[in-house]
Amino acid sequence: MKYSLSLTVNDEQYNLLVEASHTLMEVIRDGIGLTGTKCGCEDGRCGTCTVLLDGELVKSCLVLGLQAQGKSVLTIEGLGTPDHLHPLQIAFLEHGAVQCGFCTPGMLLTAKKLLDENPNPTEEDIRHTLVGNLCRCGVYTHATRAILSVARKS
Amino acid sequence: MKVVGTSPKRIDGIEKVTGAAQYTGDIVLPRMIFGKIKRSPLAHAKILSIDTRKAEQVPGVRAVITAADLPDVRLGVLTRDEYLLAHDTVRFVGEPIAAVAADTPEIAREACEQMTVEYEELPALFDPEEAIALDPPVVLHEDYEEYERLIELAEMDKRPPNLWQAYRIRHGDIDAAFHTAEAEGGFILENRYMTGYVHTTCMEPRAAVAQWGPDGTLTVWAGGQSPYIARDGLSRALGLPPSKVRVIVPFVGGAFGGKLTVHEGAIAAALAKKARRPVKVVLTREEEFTTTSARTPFIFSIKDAVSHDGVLLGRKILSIFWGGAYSGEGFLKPIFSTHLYPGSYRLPALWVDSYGVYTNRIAGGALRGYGCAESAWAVETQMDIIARTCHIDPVALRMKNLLTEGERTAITMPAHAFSAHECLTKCAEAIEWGTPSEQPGHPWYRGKGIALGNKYSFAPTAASVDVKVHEDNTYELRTSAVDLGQGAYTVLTQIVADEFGVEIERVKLVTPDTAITPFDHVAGSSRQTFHTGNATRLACADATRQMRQEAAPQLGVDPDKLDVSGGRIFVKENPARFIEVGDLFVVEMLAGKRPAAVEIFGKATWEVSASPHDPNTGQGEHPMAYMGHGAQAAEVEVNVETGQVRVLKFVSAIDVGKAMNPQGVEMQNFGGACMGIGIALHEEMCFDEKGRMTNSNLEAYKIPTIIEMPRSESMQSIIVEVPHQQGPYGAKGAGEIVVVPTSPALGNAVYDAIGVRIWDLPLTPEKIVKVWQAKQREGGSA
Repeated sequence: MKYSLSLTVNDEQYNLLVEASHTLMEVIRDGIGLTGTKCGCEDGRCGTCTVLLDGELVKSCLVLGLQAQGKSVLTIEGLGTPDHLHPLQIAFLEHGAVQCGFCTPGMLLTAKKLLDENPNPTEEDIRHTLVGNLCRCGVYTHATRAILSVARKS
Repeated sequence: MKVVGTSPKRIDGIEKVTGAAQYTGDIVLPRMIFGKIKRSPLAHAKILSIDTRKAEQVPGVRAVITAADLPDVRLGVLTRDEYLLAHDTVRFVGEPIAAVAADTPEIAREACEQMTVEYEELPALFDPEEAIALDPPVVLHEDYEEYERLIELAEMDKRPPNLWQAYRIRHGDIDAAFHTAEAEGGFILENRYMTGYVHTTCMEPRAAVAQWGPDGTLTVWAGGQSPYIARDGLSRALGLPPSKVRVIVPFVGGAFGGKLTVHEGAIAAALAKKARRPVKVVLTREEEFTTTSARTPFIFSIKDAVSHDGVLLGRKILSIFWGGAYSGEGFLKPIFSTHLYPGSYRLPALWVDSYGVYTNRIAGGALRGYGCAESAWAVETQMDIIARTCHIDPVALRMKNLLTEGERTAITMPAHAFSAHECLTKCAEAIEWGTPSEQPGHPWYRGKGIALGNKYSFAPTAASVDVKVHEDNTYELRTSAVDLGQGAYTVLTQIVADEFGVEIERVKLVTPDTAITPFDHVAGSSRQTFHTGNATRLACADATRQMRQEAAPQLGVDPDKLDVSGGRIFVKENPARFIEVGDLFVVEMLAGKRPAAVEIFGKATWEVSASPHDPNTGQGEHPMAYMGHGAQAAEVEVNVETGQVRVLKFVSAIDVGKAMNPQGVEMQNFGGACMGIGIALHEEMCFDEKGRMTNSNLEAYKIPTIIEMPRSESMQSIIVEVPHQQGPYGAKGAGEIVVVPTSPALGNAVYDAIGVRIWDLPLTPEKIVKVWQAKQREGGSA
């Protein structure tokens, strides 16, 4: 059975009918069609589906869509646009923190949350925050440098 | 202005950081439905019957297929030993038996569960050393002799029935080497090593979308390493002429050897045909682990003859590749793994027997380094032990035995662009080799380790590239070389920019699509910069030749007096005399003006032939395209109470001939270190006694997180540039050498820290505690 769901994604209002069993990740990807949120495992371990839900970091495969009722979601598509990239997006490109790109959306949103709360993180802070975002290409060193560079500029 | 040698932002970067990059799983087509695969729960069984009726009745199911819906052909690259969907036998847990397409993935999954398959369970065989026996307890492929095989095995009196690959190297007199070592005060050192059971674990699971056109043309979107290998595989599996198959490669979320074949694409296509709708198949993480490319172990027995002062006299190696149920993507590993042995050191005698065997496990596949990362574990640990046995510094010992430029190796092929000395020297300097680690105190012990490596790039191979010149001074590169994350699209674009003397923004890329882009062998074996790079240069040269030809009448000089750069075709001796690229294209055809050039379209194919692999001797003048070299060193600390290993510092010095994109090389260096640290220290696929993988999720199969990496200032990437005479601008590839020395460098560092060896990867805490405690009982100390 489908239920109605109202939520805001990247400042746009959506009214949808969703199955109770559908995760927020499925709502974002299949219901709304924003596929920048990735699915690498479906059980909360890879971090590629990370989004901000009312400002909190969540793995959207572990949240039911209906739990987002009335809430506000930020996905990678809302972080910046090609014409107005977020400083972290620029830094990730400049510092070589992007390889295959599959973990990139989740990693960028995690980094944004970190800098929102702690504009001047240490490398240790970055390591503790990014531990839930797996990357097989191994961009960790370059991502650390990218995040530190944004922190230094701000 | 030169773009090659600089590090522009990756050309596919904006899409990747904004979420616009479309991967296969992101594709949605009108009326598209979803496929799921029914898989074997048993490691070895006869299929007595498959009853699909209940599955077909599940509401929302649109198609169910079994082997009966497919052409009766076996697949496989060089040994055709595998069906797309099992016929009468299943040989590993997870083997595809049937598939369902339904309106939602959930319905398709439910329908798979509703299918009834009757099995007669057969005894399973998991141990490769049992499997290789002449009289093994189980024979996996009774029909092996009937299989189509495209490769010769080494001659033998009788083939062990589970053996699918046999290769030898014979060079010098190995018995005389052992005799000399014993007679002249040297020594013989014999050890057995095993590599781990590891998985590619791309963040993007394998996926495919298939759609049939009204004319019977099949289009498959699949994020694989080679659209042409995929096309040929689809063509064979589905009984279609190649011209009826179109493969489009969207963005790829990592591959590392794990996305060479496209079995789920063929299954999606068969479902789509029956359902008359487009079908998407996306593997779950569990399916990824249990059914896609694993780096299954090698077992190496090495016996070295060494002089008293540390000169290698001879090396004898027996290796068994623990293949799985099918030869799969590991089909060439028993051969290619042997390329490492003659690649770095002078070996007056080399004797190698290398075998691949079937067992009832997941097929052994490719994973970055294709055999050489495995053989390096054995060889470079052995070199460390030799150094310590004759009390010579491990770096000096290696230096003493290195080949020199132009010297014939133990497989005949001369060493070229031989950079091992420089890699080793720079790596040792950076890790402050010779300066002992500061000791933090019990239970932590620190140490340093170093290892050398080499990585062949296979041949024969070819790459074709097209370059279309547009009238607005834009250059369109059409390539089937795939960017898996390694940066191929950016490097090839840099080449085009330089060849036409324009900014990189003036180069447009058409990504792999077999309907449009020309043949390229594969994004594998560190080959794209080398081969596709060369093809790109040649295609650009073909285009500029045409531009000069077309401009010559307009400028009134011979074409060879002209040059092309920056959007102008100009007289070399007087650059002020020029026309613009746009002047070549007069478009007002209806006004009666004759177009000077309707189309300027450069084309080229770069091909590298090879001397054939002689399976009985391994000898050849040119059995590979090139060989790259690199050294890595690490400082670690080991907790002898918990067995934990922390990597404190990591240095990677690799020779790329010419760094086309220095930042890209650094990304490979650090990325390789990351993967290599996981493989060396903690990654391990585990199986129960029934052959079922017991840790098929990302919590239990642990790839490195950011925490396992050294801090960013403790990671060092050193670029060595010894140009290769055939490489574009002298370049060699960088993608695989970066994981070749990693495991032995870390193992040697652990030894340096606590004075004990572990012979089998990975170096888990359990093993470390065990060997440490055994050493304590024997009265040793760190």
